[in-house]
Amino acid sequence: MRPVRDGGLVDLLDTALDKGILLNADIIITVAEVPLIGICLRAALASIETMLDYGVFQEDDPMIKGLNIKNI
Amino acid sequence: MAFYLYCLAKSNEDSNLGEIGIEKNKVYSIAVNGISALVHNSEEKPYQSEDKEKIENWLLSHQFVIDAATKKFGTVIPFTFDTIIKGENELKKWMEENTKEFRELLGKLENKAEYLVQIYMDAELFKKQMEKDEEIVKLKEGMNKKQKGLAFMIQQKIDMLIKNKIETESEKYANKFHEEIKSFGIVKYNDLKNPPEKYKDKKMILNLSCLIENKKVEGCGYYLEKINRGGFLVRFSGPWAPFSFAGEIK
Repeated sequence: MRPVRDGGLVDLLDTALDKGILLNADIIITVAEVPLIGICLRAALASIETMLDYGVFQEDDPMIKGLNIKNI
Repeated sequence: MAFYLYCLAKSNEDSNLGEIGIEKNKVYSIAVNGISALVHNSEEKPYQSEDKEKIENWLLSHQFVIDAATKKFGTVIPFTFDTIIKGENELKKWMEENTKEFRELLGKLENKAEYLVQIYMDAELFKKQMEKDEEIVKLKEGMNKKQKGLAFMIQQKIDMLIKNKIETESEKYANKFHEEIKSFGIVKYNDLKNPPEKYKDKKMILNLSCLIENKKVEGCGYYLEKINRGGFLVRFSGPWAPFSFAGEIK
């Protein structure tokens, strides 16, 4: 079988968002709130309930609390 | 002015990749000591939004630039989304200080790409096969002779037994496949989560990121095809820039 890119957004999340080099240096703009982007996107892929089932994050996760989930 | 950093590549020339960046920004290279940083001029703040379409487009653009750079330069060190360097002096100084590491890393990644290998088991099919299992057949025979309450308990025992057998079998297969896939390149485990929609009802038993040499990709595909024909479903996704194998740089 030949490799293909058929995973769409899920694969993008697994690569560009979750991986790639993370710079631990003081020369970068602080991106402390960036994980929110990941959460929004992941929420777009699956319902929050499913996400909780999968253990992607916990109900009392501070990042979830900071989000208005109803609007996603 | 800040710089949104997509990736690093081996090149000493000034390149312009055109307006292919996030929000159609012009992507160009800043070269230091034979290493080029592919960047766009950015504001000094991260890209953030709750608009999923917008974020999706950003991510697609991020990936698109890395793909374009891979095509042009061969090998790149990809950075994670939203890596923004404060200023030109900072960027150049950082590149000067790390030139040796970048060269070494690019050397290690040369002629290789990352692939995602996911293997799924058809749990329903396996359950059906389990119905012929001696232990289960015996339990079922016994169950038919018992009273309702007791039969219910035996059914629960059967369900648990099947579940445990599926776990044991999937682990056994996962270990076997993992060992064999390792012969094609460097392999890293990923969590067993987030399958694409069309695989949602299947049981993922293995999720690997593999750094495979270009000349070994065909052989790996051939091996995966054999697994695919043997009652499993295999996803072979790629090629990707080596997102999982570029490590952490200080």
